[in-house]
Amino acid sequence: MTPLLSALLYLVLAPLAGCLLAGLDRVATARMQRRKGPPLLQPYYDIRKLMGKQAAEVNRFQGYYLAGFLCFTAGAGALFFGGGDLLLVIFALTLGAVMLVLAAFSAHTPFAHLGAHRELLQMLAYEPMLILTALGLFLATHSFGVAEIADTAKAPVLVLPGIFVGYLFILTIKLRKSPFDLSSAHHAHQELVRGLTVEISGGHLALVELAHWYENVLLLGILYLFLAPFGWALALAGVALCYLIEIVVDNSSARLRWETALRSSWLVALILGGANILLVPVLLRGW
Amino acid sequence: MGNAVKSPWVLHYDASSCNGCDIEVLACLTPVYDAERLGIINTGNPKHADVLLITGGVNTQNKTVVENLYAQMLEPKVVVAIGACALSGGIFADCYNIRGGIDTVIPVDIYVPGCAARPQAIVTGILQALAVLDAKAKGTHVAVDKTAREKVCR
Amino acid sequence: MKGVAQWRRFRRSYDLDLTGYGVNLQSLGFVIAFPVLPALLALWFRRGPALDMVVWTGALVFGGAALAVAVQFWASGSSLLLLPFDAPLLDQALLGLETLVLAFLFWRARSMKSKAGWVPSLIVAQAAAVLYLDFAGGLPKSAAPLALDHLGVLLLVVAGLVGGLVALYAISYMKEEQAHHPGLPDRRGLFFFLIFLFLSAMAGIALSNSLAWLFFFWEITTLCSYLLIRSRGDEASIRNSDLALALNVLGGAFFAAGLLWLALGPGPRTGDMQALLASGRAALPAAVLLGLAGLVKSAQLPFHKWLLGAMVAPTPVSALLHASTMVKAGVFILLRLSPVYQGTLAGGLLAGVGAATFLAASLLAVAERDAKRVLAYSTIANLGLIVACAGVGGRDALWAGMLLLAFHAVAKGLLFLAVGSAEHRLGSRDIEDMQGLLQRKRALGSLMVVGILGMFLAPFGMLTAKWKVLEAMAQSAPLIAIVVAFGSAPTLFFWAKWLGALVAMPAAPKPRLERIPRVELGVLGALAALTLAATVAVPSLSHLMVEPFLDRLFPAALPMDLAPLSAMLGIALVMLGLPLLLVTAPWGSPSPAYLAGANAGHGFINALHLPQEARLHNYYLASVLRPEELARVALWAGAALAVAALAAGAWS
Repeated sequence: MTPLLSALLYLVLAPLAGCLLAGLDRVATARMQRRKGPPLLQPYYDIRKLMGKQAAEVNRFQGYYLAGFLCFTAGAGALFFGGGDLLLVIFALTLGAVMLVLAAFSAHTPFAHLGAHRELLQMLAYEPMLILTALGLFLATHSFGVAEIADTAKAPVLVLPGIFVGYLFILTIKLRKSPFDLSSAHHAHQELVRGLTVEISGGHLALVELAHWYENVLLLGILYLFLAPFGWALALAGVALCYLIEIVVDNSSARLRWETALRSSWLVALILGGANILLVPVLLRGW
Repeated sequence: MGNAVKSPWVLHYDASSCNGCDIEVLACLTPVYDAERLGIINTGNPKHADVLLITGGVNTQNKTVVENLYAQMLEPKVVVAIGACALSGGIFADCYNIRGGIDTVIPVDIYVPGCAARPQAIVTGILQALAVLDAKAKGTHVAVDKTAREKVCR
Repeated sequence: MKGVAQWRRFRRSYDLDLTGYGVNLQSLGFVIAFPVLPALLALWFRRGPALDMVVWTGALVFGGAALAVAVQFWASGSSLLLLPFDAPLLDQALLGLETLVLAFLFWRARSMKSKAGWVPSLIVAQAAAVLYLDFAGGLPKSAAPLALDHLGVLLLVVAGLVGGLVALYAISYMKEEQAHHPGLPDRRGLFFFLIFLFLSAMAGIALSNSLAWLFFFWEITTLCSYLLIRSRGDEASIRNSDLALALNVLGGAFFAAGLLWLALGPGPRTGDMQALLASGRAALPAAVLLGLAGLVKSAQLPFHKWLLGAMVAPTPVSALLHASTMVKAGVFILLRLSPVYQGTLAGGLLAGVGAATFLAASLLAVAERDAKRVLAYSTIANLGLIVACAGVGGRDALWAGMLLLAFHAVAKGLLFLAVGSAEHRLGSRDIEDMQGLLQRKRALGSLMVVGILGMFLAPFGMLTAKWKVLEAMAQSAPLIAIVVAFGSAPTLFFWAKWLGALVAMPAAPKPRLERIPRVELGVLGALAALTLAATVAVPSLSHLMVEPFLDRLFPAALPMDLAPLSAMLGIALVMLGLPLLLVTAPWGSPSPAYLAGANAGHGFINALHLPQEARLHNYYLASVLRPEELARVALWAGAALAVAALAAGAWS
């Protein structure tokens, strides 16, 4: 499987996987609330409807920023699944996220502006842990390349327990789940009405959804890296379990304030992530 | 491409309702009636919504608000007027500030009578609205069913 | 007769072309000495078209000469070029000038408002040290006072290109300054005299192999910085120039102490930089002292206050001295001494100072509204990254440090100049007043946007360098990598926030702004083009300008793996291709803002049923960051680390 083929497969299959993941999220949430919930393919119906509507824009640059968001997010994922450098993947993802924020900033309306700022605060919260994850994986496997990390003999999760938990913590923020869905909550919830995406609609909103699917597959892929040496079946099961845990956390917690999100994320990154990184040589030898 | 029948996103606005009908609308989203089965999501943003669920009558202050919200919704869109007040002003129809039902300012497609309207009726109303939405998306003209409104006003 | 023989020997040496590519003493001497001519002419003409002509010619010739030397050196394929010559008259002339400069600084220090007695005393001590070292033969003279290697050429090219462009910008900027403040005396002649004198000193620093000469040029930059900060003449300028003088005198004292250690201490008794590097660990105390001088010059914790205060100076000063070149001299020294620091505790502690500075300055920048202060904090932070690279050492770290030096100089120069132009049009430096600048002034706005993107986003050079920093630190110093990871996040926050203000497109139109002079736009465009071109050409630039230097220092290391950068190039291409979407993609239907339906014109109807406009401001996180406390904690942390580094160096 050449890197180019993997990247292309990702670009084609990730929307399908992301759609099913989003649908699974909504069905699982509904069942936890003792109701039936939408069909599994509901996210696909949503996107199909959105693409059929003409976008309403407050300025003509929004589409440009959103196209950038989609391109760079999908590009980051393609780079990841093509076996590229993990740090570069993170930076490409950051680039995409900044484009989304710029789309909201360019609108210059109260809800969009606040949503953009909340999104920046979320990025401020999770960025250290994300970089520490890459650092940790490097120290555990002696490579920044995703292909080499996936091929490692010893499971990184055994050497990086703190970083694994820290990554799960910020995954809550990146997947836009309670208690940290501050900038634009999931479909069923509202925060700042629609926050970041309040002035984005129709086909443009479909782009944002699609980009979120690409991003979710990438984020779960990083989670997979921690468990890869256990074999693909066990690793996928582990990833599914973690995703389910995220859904449980989402449904059982209320939204917290951005100060809490920022402080707790940095504390987790410092204590769990930082300590783990300094202890990696010990843990590597111990096993 | 696709239309909104399988993914009707709802904007719920309280024009001057006593909140009775609003509570019934929110009850539709609870596990007992579970409107999300139909793919319904309560988005508060007119730019994201296909269906406008509106309760209460129109008064002088929110006339422009209702018009603005309706205008900001993207085509195709339907309006469901819920409760007696939305139909004709209800028991507040003679008040100095109430101009009348919702259809005095924006075109209404479905009327759901009741005071307060029951969640079952609201969900039925939304389902009928989806048929109208489908017809609008396909371009077929649909006549508005005014029988419910007529009955209340008599 | 002895003088004639000396002169004859000197004359024979300066024609010595060791490379066959035209790099000889003549060309190097020209680059260093030439700017003095436009400096004196500027002082003579003082204003008018003659002054403009002098500055144009001076900038173009200096930039061209610097580039010529660089191209010749790169083409020659050599990695280190020592130019031996013996010019005792020149040495004595420099010594005399240095004493004059110190005397002038002493006089200014005596008349400082704050009456800090230690500053004049330190100047006297430095003068005594200089006299002992150079006059009384305390430190042996370097056999090859000038030397050329890739690191020096990098600094020279940066000084030449950015310096030349800033000087051109300053022609137009200072004219506007004069127009805006007609009451102030027209000191443009003195201004450009100092600018060109400074450029000469920068070339000297880049090319000096003799430590005594390096110290001389170092002190010249202190002098220029002091006088330029003071140029506006108001109370804030005087106060801040005194602070800059005080701290830079302290830096000079560190430098002199390092030279004294070399002269009197147990280590190698040499006045030659390359010889110092060759002695390695034996010269560590001197290297740490010189490193501390570099920390002061680069405004690292705990010596950073002077750079923030220096923002009261006119924008070209901030761009040239306090972002692109003078502060680069400090990290230049640290990068040069990096092989001595590598693997030592002192080096690690110096790297700690750099990393702590990066984290603290990035956090403090989040709380700032004044655009120049944000840029100042960002400069301090990025210099901290370079210091961290130098302290840790190793091939990858030095690669990243050198690239950071070059990329930061260009991008930060661009940003400072753009802010200067914006300030003249808007009448304010507040970022809130720059909302919608992209819409109001498309050229200036887009150039400022390019500058900001160039500072923190993929695929631009700064991000590439930061990527390499993280990778290098992950291998050699994970603790530093952790600090850098935490510092990257606030960096993202304050740049994206500023970018958001620029790209905003408010519905309510704002008053039109005056035209920007073409010279200013031209310079900004040139710097932006340099940023973009350098980004795309990182692998080629690396092969040409950086890797030969590293190959010489680390002959056993594996070649650099720059393959991942092709991904960056892909991103760059996508970024360039996206604007095509603007032209071709169908755009949606225009729609007013969402304001809960209460839209009224460009604003909304508020709770009192009155029309109101929404005013949108950025977050400054003062409640979470507590900037004053944070600054104090950072200062003490930096001081502790610096003292620890000094102790580690002394006890080695």
